Amino acid sequence: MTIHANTRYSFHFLSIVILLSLMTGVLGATGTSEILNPHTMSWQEIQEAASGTEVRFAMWGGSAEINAWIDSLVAPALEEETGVILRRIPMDAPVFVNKLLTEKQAGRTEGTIDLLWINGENFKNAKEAGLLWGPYTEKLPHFNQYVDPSTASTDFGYPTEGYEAPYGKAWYIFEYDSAKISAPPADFDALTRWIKDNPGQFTYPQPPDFTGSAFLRLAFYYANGGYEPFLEGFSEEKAQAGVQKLVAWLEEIEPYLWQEGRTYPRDSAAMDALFERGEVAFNMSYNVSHASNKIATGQYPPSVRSFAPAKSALYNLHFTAIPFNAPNKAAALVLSNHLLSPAMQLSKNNPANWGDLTVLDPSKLTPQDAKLFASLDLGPATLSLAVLAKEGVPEIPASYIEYIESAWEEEILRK
Amino acid sequence: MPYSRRSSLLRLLPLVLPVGGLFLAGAMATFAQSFGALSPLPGAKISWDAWKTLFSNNWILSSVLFSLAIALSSATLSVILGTILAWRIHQLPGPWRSIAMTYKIPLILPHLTVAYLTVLLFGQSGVLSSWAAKLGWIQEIPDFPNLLYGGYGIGVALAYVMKETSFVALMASGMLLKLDDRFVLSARMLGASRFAVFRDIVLPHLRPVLVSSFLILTLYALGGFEIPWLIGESRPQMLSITAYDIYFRHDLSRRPEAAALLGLLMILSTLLIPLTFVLLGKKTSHE
Repeated sequence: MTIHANTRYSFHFLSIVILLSLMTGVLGATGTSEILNPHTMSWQEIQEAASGTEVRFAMWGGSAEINAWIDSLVAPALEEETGVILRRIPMDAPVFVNKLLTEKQAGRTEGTIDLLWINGENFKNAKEAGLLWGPYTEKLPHFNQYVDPSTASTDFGYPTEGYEAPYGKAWYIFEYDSAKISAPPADFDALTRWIKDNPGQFTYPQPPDFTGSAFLRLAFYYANGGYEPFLEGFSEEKAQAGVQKLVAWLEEIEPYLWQEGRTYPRDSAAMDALFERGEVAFNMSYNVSHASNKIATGQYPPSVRSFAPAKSALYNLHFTAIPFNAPNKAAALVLSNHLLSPAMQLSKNNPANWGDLTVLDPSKLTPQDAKLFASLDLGPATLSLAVLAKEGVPEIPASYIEYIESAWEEEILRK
Repeated sequence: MPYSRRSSLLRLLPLVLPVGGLFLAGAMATFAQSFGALSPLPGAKISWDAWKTLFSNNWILSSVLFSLAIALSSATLSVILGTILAWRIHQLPGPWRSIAMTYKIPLILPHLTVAYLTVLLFGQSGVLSSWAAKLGWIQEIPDFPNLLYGGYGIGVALAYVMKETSFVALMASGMLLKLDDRFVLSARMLGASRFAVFRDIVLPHLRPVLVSSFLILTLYALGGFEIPWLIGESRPQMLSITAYDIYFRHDLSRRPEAAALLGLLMILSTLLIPLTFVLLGKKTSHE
């Protein structure tokens, strides 16, 4: 009997504990306030506030090379120079934008992420929904010292207004195996012929995958004779007419694609696997050193090379931004600045680490640093900046991207 | 000491409250979002639009039918294979039976691994294909049937069958231990064939557990995400993938559509429960 009574009491006690913890959880979420305002602090004060604290960096985690660069080079240097401890959080950009939206709705003023790796559509979505803190880039000493602000003033045609700091520059390249193909297609006309002559050996990652979606944009430029008409703002009429031409081209090639176009590789990782196994003859990437990296890790044979068909080296900048509810904004500023240091940008540019191109203005660097950048060995399969610049085409406003992706879904996938 | 009804209810509360609360809140938030509430976008209105899109859209409709087809066929096949497996293992002599316990291995494998194994085994460049080539059944790789990318979702269904057959076998084995062997013996003595014993004694005995297993597997496959995400085809597409794509990989203004789709999935799943019990019967006719 006593045992029974005891279990009953302990049960009541347990339920009260659970109830209380639930309540404090709810209250705790809204109870904190911002003590520190980096907007009014000097850089010295920001550094002091950040020292010894942890900064949580949410970034796409799909590349082992990039993750290793962050963990084994960026983090130790950051801790040594500033005392800030870097914690990497692998998370896709749409996922953290989603998470921040939910937190904003729920009124959570203290989040769990301090710095985001972001650009394009996600930046536009986040900025419009009020998920970002700023403007802040003029606070960063390295931004002021080394970056030409005009290069970072827009992101996919959308003004950045100091709400994100540049981090790297990406170029879109195609890849082929020179042991199997002597001369890759020189332009999209030649590519079209090649696809028809070699059925089953070409495909692209299924949009809205980042790499697949970028391929659609290049096809969109090709079908419409260039990117120029779409550069300024978004026009529904232009988009509609342009998309019709794109769809006509996609329908023309679809029967000649891998698996006769019945299915597409789910994402760029699935696409890489197809290319590695030799099921398709071309791969593409928004990372110039992708092929050199894959050769270095042994996933690609050494005969793989990159190429850029005429007018199809798409480029864009990627950025870091601070969420509205970042718990440690001072450390986020320190990390954002750290990523812009010549040393970090140089190590990022090194294909052994990542191979992502720098956003620093060479004319603003010390002659010594500029020399170091110029003497980087970019790897056997990486195109030179001269080739890329010659075939370079910019990104058009993000509104077109969603429009093109939806058209692909309606007209190609659901046919 | 038997507990009173009230005290057992109280004892269940710590479990019921969070689970029920979280589940109900989640379900309600989903339905609210499907009508445009809780939208992150300024100026969003409450409307039926997402539901209208859902029912006017052949793509989503075909996705619903495809998911149902995959869920029902994989569950049916798993139940059949699992039952046979359990009965054969039950008939084995003692030492063999403990070796046969290896059938449980797929139970502990994550769905991720099973998806990978499916590609490894059933892909056109997979293990079965290369065996078939060695045995001279096929001449080259394209002769092997294109199970994974043939446009019928066979790969996804196969992956579920590989994983769930052992689940059914486990459920059925437990039930078989409770089967009185004297039924089987006397039936055999009175001249019943092995098949008649299986049909008239074993199956009716297993029926309740098979019906529940069938339901669990159907509902799981209907909403399951990992396997179609890893080895599913672009089209036809399972519901869960369609919903994920609309929710996470498109413009924020399309979120109500994804929420409506998930709402539809919930309604479908709920309807399936009474339907299964009505069609297949919950109780055994035997006891």
